[in-house]
Amino acid sequence: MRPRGLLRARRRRRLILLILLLSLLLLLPLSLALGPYRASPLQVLRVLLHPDDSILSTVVWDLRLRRALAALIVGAVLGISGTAVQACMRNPLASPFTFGLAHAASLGVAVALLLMHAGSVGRFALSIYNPFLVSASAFLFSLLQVLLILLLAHRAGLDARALVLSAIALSFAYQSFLYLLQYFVLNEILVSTVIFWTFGDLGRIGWLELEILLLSSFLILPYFLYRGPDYDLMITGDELTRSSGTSPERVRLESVIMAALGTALATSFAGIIGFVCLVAPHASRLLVGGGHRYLLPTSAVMGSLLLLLSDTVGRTVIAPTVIPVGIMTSLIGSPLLVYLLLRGGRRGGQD
Amino acid sequence: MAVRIRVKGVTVTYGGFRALSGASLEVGGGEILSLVGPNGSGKTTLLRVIDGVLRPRRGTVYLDGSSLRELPPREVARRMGMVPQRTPPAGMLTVFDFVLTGRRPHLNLLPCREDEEKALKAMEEVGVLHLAERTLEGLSGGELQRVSIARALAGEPEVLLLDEPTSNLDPRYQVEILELLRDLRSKGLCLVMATHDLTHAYRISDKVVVLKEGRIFSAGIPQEVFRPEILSQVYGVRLKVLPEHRIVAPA
Repeated sequence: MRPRGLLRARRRRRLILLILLLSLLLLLPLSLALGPYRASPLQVLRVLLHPDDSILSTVVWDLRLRRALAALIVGAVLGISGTAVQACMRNPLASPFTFGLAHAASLGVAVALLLMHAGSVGRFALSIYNPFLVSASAFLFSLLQVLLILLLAHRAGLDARALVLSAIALSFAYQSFLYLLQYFVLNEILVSTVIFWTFGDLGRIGWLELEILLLSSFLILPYFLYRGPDYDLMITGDELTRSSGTSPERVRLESVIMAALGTALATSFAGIIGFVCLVAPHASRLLVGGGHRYLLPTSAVMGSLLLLLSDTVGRTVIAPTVIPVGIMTSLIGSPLLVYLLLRGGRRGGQD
Repeated sequence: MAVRIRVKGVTVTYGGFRALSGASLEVGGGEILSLVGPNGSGKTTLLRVIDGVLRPRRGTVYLDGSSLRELPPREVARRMGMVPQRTPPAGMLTVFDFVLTGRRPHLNLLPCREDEEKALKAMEEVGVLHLAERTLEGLSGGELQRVSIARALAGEPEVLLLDEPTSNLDPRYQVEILELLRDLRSKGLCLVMATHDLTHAYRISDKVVVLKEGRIFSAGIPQEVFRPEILSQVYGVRLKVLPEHRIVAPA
C-alpha cells in the first residue's frame, strides 16, 4: 500500500544524510592533518591515539582538534537553529541573528572593554586580558536582547511578525548604543578591538568553552529534532497548528530561546559567525526537501560541514596567517547562497 | 443520533465588531450540518469557535457533553479535524509530510509506522495517494483541497469541520467530495461544513443553519430552510428553488 515513489524518496534522503556524514568524517582527519606545521595523516593519527610531548602532538591536540571539534558543535547548533527559526517565523531569511544577537554581543564586548578594562589591541594582535569577562558580557547582552524581544513580542501576541519587528527595532537601539559608546567614550584602539572581536574565530574556543558548548548542544539538538513535526505544522500557519492542538506561541517561544542560547554561547565565545545559519538550511532544503524530519538533522550536519570546511580553508589558504572563520563562512557562503537562489528559483522560499 | 457538538449562545467580537451573536446549534454523529449565508455572515467564525481555535466572548461549545474550555487542546484536536478554506502552499513540504501533520495530536514523540499507514490510508480514501511525493506548492487548487481533507482524515476524527470544501473544485471533484462526505457520514462521523453552494447544501445536508450578520436567521432540515422567501431575505436577491433541490439565481 506504500507507494514506491515514497520509499524511493525516503531512501534518497537517508542516503544524502549518510553521504554528508561520511564527508564530515573524511574532512575531520584532513582538517587535522592540514596546517603550517606539516605532518602526514598517519603521523597525525599516531599522536591522536598516543599523545606525547612532541610539537606535533601539541599542535594536533591543542590547536587543530580543539578548533575542529568547535567547528562541528557550533556548526551543528547554528545550522539546526537556522532551520528551526525559519520554520517558526515562516520566513526563509530568518536566522538566530535576525534577533539582533550580533549587535547585542558587540555592545556587550564594548561594555566589557570600556567599563571593565578587559583588553586592548596592539599593532598585530588582540590582547584581551580577561577573555571570560568579555565572553560573559557578550552572553549577558545577547540574553538581555532576546528577553527584551520576547517581552515585546509577547505583548504584541508573539506572532512571527511581532517577533521580527521587535527584533529589528531593538537591534537598531543596540547598534546606536554601540555607536554612541564608540563616538564618545572608546578610543580608536578599543573601537578596533570591538571590530576585531566581531570577526568570528574558532581559535578562541578553549576546552572549557568547548565543554559548555557540547553540554548545551545536548539540550538544543534533541529539542529541535523533537519539535520536527511541529515545524511541519508551523510553516502552514498558526491556525492549522492551533487546530492540531499545538500552541504556535509556545513552540515559537521555546524555539527562539533554544536558538538564542546556542547562538549567544557560540557568539560570545568565538565572535560572530553569521552565514552558517542561513546557508545550511537552504542547502539542506534543496537536498532533502522541506519536511523537517530529514531537514533538521541534515541542516545540523551541513552546518558542521560548512564550518569545518571554512575554518580549514581559512587556516591553510594563506598560512601561517589565519583568516577568521566568520569571514570565511561569508566568503564561501554568499556564492553558495546565490547559487542556491538561482538553482532553487522560487522553490527556495517558504512564505 | 446522539448529539456530538452543541453550540450554546456563542458570541464573538473582533474589536468592536460583532461577528457572531448568540449562535446555538446541535449536530449529532452520522449527520451533516451545513452553515450557509452571505459573505461575512459568520460561517467561518462559527467553524473556528467549534474547532476551539477561537474563544467566544460568551457562550460555550460542548463536545460530547464536555465544554471545550475544560478539554485539553490536544484532546479536542484528536477528536476534531479541520479543513480550512485555503491551505497555504507551505514551502517545499511534500503532500505526504503535510498529510502526516494530521497525526500530530496523536503523537507522543515522532510519527511511527502506524501514523504513516494511517496517513497513507487517508490519502488513498481521498484519491491523492499518487501525489505523495509532490510538493504542496506545485498542486492545483482542487488537489490542495483534497490533500487538505486527507490531512484532516489522517487524524481519524469523530467530527470533521470543512470550510468551503468544494469551492475550488471542478464539477467532477465536487461530486467526488460530496460522495466522500456522504460516505463519512454513513461511518458515523459528524460533519459541519460552511458552504456557498446552496444546491450542494440542499442535497447533502441533514440540517442547515442560515446565518445573517452573525445571527442565526433560520435553522432546520433543508426543506424547511431552503424556501424562496427565506433565501431572498438573507441574500438580498430573489433565488429560485427548482425541482431536484436546485437553487438558482434568476438570470
